[in-house]
Amino acid sequence: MTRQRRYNLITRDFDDNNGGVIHVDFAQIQVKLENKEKHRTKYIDAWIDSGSFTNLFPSYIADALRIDLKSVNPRDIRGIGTAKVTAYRHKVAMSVGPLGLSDTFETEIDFSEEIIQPLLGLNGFFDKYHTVCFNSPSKEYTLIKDLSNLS
Amino acid sequence: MMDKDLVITPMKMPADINKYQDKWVAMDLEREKVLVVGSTIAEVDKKAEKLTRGPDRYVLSHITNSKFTYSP
Repeated sequence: MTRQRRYNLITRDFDDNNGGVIHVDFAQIQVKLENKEKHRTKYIDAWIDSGSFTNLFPSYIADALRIDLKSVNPRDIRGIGTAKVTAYRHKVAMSVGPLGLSDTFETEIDFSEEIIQPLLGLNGFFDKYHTVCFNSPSKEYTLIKDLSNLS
Repeated sequence: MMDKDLVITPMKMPADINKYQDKWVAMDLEREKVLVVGSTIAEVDKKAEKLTRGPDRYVLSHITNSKFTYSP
């Protein structure tokens, strides 16, 4: 059995640096992060980003969750062009979606001092779902979870 | 078998959100009003935690140099 949740894409207008405006539809969603060992929880908005290999969040969130950021080995995360950031991977409980309607799972996040905008990526977010579907004409995106895989 | 679709709009933003370009904001959990604005996530989170008397009674969001527009 699957469970489908549909959310509205948000349109954001960016300057095109040529006197015009570019309209971009974003899948931005509220997530709740929890460090169960320390009983610390934070709510934060993140972008669903299929171009990101992993979940990438600002390192401050790890601090706020009482996670010892540098207790694990650093890893390099590569992005556009030659850009590279140093990150530290930790496990957290993540609830995706608005209060009372969220999907909750254990996942890993790469926390980095060089990241501002939280990103939900392929490993640790997309792979938690059966299907992640963007529908720009209807300005919606859909998260479909395969409940048969849940214990 | 597919459960009934849930068509919802979780990403409600406060009406005045476009004032806060390139800022971090803390919103109430109903996402109706901005509680704290600042340049860094750390300062916003610490002020919001003090204001709301708890670490999990608000939502942090970074307003990335763009304007939210809403479809009818």
